[in-house]
Amino acid sequence: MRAVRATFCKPGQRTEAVQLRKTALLRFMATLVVLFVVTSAMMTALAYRTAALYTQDQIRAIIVADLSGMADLWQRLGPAGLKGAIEARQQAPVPRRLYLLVSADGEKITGDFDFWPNNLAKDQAWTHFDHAGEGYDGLSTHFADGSRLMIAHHRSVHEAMLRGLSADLIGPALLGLLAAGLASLVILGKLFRRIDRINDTCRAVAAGDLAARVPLDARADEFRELGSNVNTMLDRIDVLMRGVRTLSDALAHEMRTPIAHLRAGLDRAAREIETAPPDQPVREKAAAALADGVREADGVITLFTALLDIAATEAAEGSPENLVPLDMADLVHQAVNLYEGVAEDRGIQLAISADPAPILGEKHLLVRFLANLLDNALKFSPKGKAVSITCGFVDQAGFLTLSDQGPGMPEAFRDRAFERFARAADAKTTPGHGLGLSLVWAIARRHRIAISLHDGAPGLRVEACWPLP
Amino acid sequence: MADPDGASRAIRALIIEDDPVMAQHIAALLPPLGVAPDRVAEGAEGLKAAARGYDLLIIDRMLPGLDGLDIVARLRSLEIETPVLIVSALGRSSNAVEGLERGADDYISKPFSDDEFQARVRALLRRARREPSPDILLVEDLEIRIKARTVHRAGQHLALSPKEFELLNCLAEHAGSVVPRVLLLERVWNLRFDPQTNVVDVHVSRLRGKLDEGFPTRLIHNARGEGYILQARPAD
Repeated sequence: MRAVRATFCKPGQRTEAVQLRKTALLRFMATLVVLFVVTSAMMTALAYRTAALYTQDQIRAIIVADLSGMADLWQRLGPAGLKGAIEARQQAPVPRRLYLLVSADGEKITGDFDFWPNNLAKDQAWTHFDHAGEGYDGLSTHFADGSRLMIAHHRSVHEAMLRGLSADLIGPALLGLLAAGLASLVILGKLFRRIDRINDTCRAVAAGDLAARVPLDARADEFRELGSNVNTMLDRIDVLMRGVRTLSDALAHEMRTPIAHLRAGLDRAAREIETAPPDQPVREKAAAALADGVREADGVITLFTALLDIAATEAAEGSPENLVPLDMADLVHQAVNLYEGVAEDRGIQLAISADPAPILGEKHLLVRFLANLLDNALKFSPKGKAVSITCGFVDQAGFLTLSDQGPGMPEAFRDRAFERFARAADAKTTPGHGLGLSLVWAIARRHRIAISLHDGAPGLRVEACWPLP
Repeated sequence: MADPDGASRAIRALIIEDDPVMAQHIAALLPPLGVAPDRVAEGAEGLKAAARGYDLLIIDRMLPGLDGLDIVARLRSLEIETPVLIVSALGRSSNAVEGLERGADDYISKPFSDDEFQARVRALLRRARREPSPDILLVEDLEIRIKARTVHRAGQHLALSPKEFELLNCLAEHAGSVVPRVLLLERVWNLRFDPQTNVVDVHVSRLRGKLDEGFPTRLIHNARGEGYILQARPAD
């Protein structure tokens, strides 16, 4: 239901369409933000862990050094000296290291603790222990007389250091998050606005304003490209629409005349038969009127067939179906073969210079392409002049040139000559329905032939070229 | 080469066509050729009937819910080789090519002239009778040797170009009947379109010049409509 309504997006359903669309962008942005949060949290955790290990190492290194210093003192000054040194260090400001010196039988000699923690490992192994409800981290050693020394630090020293560190880490992380969020909002807003502009244009066109175009940004980026592609597409649709409209107008117009003649012929035949006196033979007149009718009907059929052929050829544009390797030179000879009698009758000389010119094509279409061009050239050529055809290939392109020495084509008409029913004003008296060159154009497109008309001074020169297969 | 003689055995044709007007029109064109028509308006029924030993099948391309070419394909897969003429409203030359590739023997586009239809049917029937194609065609005082590609009129040799020979050959095969221009274009030039300029006319008039010049009777005539006919008529 939802999809159906979204497809037939009418102005009344605009809100829903907007919500649907913005959800997509928001989801995208939200995903980005979540990703950002997760990665920065992971990075912070990693930094925290590294820092925690480092601070602990620092604290422990000091205690280890202190312990060996104390061992030195005991060596040099004996138990009394050591006791003095410990008591001196107890005067240091908090937080400081904590000491406990006990005799060989476990009696406290001096220090911060009252008794030796019972879980304390023997010498050189770090131990966590609790004392009077507080947590400590300690290391011990023993001396030659059996007395033992422990140096510890209150766990809070390490934790305090880490707390400071966390504040330092989390602050920037939160700031970064805030910045990312703000940036997302700004970018989202911009994206929304640019997509809105394209959507507005599409909606306007869908609502019937075919002239609407996407306003293009100055910056060359993907959105400008999208907008420009949409505009190109709309231009093409516009051209096609106008073509269809012109064609149907022209078709209605072109059909009226032969159908009117057909109707008149039938009327005439009916009248001849009805009004003839009973004893008089009407055969001949009626038959002539009917024959006229048949000829006009044939004219209509020819017109329709030509239009169908053009349409079918256009529809096949770009399809590789039925395309086979051919040589344009063979086809030229075939077309010339068909027309040489006509040319001779009209006293027109055909000058052929056909070198091999490979092309991938539909044979019957290409023969027709050549026949139509040749037909045109002969139709407009004055007696005694020449029509020349050349084909061959240079580099990677095949070419075909066909020139006549007729009156040529006015420049203004050359642009429209390939349109359906286009006929030069002074050609109205020459037979033809104005579809010959349209078919030529359609066949050319089917075969990726670029065809153009030029002033042959005198006459018309048709140039065609195509990529070699 | 007159109309096939119906005395030995009646020649029967089946028309599979759903449009009653067209079916009736086609049916009326067959008896003058000595062919007795049967009519079926529906594809499946037509396929069944077609297996019953007809001499010719005339099948509409666009039957309701069925492509006439599918009938042809079915028949051919059953090894029924009855000649088929496809009648189609799809008038493009690529359609005709497709029709012939899929087993039809000939293809005619609606709308067509009666002459064209009859000429095509005549040609199909001649082929179907599997007559060994004659080496010599005789029309009046004209003698055409197909293999040697020579033509004599009243014993006098006529020098024809290859295209002129083929043109004459095609007219002679249909001697006494109208051969429409489109059929000549198709058989002689292998073209399935009618050029704007009447190119056939030019070739025919050249042939006529060589054939009829200096003889009391003329053999090639323009027929009503768009065609030609080969038969003896006194020169005007």
